[in-house]
Amino acid sequence: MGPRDDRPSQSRLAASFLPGTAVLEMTYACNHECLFCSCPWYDSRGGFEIRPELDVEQWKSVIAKLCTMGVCDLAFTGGEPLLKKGISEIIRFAASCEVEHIETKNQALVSRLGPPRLFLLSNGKIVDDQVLQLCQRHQVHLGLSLPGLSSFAEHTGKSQPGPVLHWFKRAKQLGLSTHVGITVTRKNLDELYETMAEALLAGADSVLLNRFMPGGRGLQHAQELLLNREQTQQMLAVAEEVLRLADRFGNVGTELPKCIIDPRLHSHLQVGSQCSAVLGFFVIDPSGYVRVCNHSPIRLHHVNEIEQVKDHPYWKRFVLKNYVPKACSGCHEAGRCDGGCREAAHIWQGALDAVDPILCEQDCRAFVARHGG
Amino acid sequence: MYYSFLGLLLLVPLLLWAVLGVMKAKSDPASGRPLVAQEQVKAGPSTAAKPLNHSPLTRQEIAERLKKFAESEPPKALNDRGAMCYKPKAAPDRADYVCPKCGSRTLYTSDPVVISTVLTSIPAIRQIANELQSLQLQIDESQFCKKCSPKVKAPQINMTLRYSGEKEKHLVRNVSAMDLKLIREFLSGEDKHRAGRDVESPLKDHLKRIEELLGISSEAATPSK
Repeated sequence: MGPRDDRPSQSRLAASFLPGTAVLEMTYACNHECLFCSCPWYDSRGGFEIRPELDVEQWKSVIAKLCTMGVCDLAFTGGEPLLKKGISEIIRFAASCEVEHIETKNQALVSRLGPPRLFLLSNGKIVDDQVLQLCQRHQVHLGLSLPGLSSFAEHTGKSQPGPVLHWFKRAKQLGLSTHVGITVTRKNLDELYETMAEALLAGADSVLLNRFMPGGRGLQHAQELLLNREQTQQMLAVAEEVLRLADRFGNVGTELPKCIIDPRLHSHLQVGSQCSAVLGFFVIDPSGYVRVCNHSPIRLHHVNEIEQVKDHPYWKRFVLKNYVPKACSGCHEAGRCDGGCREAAHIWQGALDAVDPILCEQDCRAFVARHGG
Repeated sequence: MYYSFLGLLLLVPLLLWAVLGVMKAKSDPASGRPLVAQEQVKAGPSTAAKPLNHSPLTRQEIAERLKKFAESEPPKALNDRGAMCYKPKAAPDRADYVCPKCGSRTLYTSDPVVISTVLTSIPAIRQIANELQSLQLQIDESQFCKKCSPKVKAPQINMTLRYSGEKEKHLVRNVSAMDLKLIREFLSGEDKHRAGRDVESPLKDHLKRIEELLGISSEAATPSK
């Protein structure tokens, strides 16, 4: 990193072309078999090669490099990150790094050195007190997945929701910052109210809601899981109702087309319509390859050649937002809406500028017939 | 779960917002509750727009269209009250601009005007410019890049357009997303301009600006015989 300029300013060049947040997929391994999982290596059609994983020292080297390149938020995911041997050591190392946080104060950009903000996203199955203490010691924000209550076992193929709710309670006692991640499908929509309520009552600080999007293993189950437009609107309405009652806040993690939402109805639920891939965050997969987002199956360059990512045509499409569907031409929301999730559209219809599955008139049976599953 | 991290970018400022606000968890158990939306959620306003003709336009063709437009009746049905009661969302900490030419990233403050320009206007301008193929528009954003334009303090977006059969370009400085929308609406044959939050106005009210943007007056057309 070059010498710091501490004078307040309205604008400045970033340390590199990289966005501020890196999502680090620690491992391909997982101890759940979620029906909705979009990890590209679980796509039964193949095409995403599982290569040797980075080891602990390699991850440390990656993290150190990213910290010099302006990345100041690190999220540990997977697969299931707690299955990664040495994950504690990696998190401790990350917490010991120093990054430059650039924020706005009194209408100027100010710089502050400190450790990166850390996030751990887990399914909760092997969380224990040691993990919570690690999070507490290093101020790691913990996200736990809760894809339903009575439908939990069906969604995950393995477990029950009790332990997840238990760990929310423990985390609350320890003063940890947490959120509950709920992937909403057709199978758990009817109990979304209860799912959110239970998680908040157990101590989750906020809610991160996601509609199921076809990808990975989820492609095989798209027909039974995919929400249509009305169900998506129902999801938003239920979430808003719960959050308003609980006086809590939440957001929808995946962008929705503006034409199906009415933001005036959401005071507690933040619903975005713009894709943040490449502009706000990017992903490094378990073998060290850069992808634009964790939904994307497209590997760009290895992290050892990270400077070349800047000129990769696929990366540039996201920089320019050169992916808005033709169906959105003429829309007065140009610039404020990307027409839904681009990678979901890519996977579902074969083109980055295809319409989001939620707007797609195509019968998903036709997709299943084409691709099997 | 894992692709759900996309939302965490919004979650951090949201958490800060929540912590600073009043936080009370209701202790009533969630039992016997009536499910569901209290009202049918309506979809947003229709976004259907008239299709654009992408054949290259000459100056004369544009001038004739402007003349006809200036003589047309303004629309009668308008939504001029706009949307009410928006709740503000938690603002981001800074706005990141990535230069399409050199790929460098410039950071801007989270001043609302700057945020709006960098995160909304510029993408809108790019998108609409892409749609207006008949005008051979070129957008110059270089002033927003601290590497391409290190000395610029108040960046602007400039636009040039060239008519079919002409060598000279028409330059317009400091264009906005609304400017591009005006051009698109005019070329689509619309009679209304739709600004943000569903506010409509007669497109004719913006005729002067449209003429400035296109570099042609509505009186410039050769009268037809």
